[in-house]
Amino acid sequence: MLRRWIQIAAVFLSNANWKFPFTRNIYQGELKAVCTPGLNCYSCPAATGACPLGAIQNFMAGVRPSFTPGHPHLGLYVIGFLGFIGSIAGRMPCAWLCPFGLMQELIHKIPSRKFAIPKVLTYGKYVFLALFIFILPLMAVDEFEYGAPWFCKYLCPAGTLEAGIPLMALKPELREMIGWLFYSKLFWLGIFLLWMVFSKRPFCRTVCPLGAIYSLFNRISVFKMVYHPDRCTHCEACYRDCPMGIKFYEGPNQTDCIRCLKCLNESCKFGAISYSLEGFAPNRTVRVRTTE
Amino acid sequence: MDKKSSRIAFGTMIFFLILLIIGIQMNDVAVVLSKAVRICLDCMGIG
Repeated sequence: MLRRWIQIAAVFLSNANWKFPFTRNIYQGELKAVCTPGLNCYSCPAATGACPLGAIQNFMAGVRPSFTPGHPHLGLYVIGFLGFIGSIAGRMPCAWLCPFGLMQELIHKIPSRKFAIPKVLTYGKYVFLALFIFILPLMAVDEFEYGAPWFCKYLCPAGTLEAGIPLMALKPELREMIGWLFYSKLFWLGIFLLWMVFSKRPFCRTVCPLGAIYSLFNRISVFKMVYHPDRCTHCEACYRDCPMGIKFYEGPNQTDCIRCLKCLNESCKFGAISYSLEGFAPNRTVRVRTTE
Repeated sequence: MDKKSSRIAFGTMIFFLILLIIGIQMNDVAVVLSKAVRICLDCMGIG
């Protein structure tokens, strides 16, 4: 329950510009220089921070021209920001701070038959990270050597939902510019919204490049999950409750673990799951509960 | 946790903190701001 309140608070902190229906524009204050830890489009009319994925792509797209005047911008600010958070908490921001993650969890509550996501699809997010965030914005450039933010432009459903649809409503003049690209992004948004009903966090697990970045830190971060095999009964309660469909006993710091702590706080009755902070006392919360 | 994994964790954290500070020194913050305050037509799907 605490996590849900923190998720809601994160949504409102990332989207605190509630004057937008009157200004009919996006927030343009200096807070926009600060990246949000979760996926939140900076062209959302309510957004008060910058999307780290959009920022990295823009840096990659503009790297070549930025060398010409002698002031290269490599995006170290954003890469350092994400790496710093990742090295402390791993993929924890996905569970606690990402507005798009919260939306996926809420939509999944719609009663329906549920389906697991094949493991092979979970590697897709690394392909999207490499191709759409780094390689294509850097390599596919126009005659002025500028690239494009490929992930934002061709796929990102958060951008369509949080920026495309609201801004079309707020700015009628933009509607004249709608073309096949907008409809293709609407299509992908529809696919993901539908998939969210049937599977747990499908976007996070198969496509999200931000989750892919954080996931690289899960095994080396300061915060780590700890597994106690001597206490585990393999009852699979953790697997049933896990929003990412992980079997915790197969490894406590798997790349898809978003450290929501649901398995620790709600699922495991045998104290087989705890967490530790590197450099501090190990296994800080070993909870052993009985089932009576 | 052993000392090696602690060193890796804190070493990684310090490394990225240094990158973050270098990025700020290189005025990356102004670049992020300049992009973020404009409507991103690409993000909307009409760019």
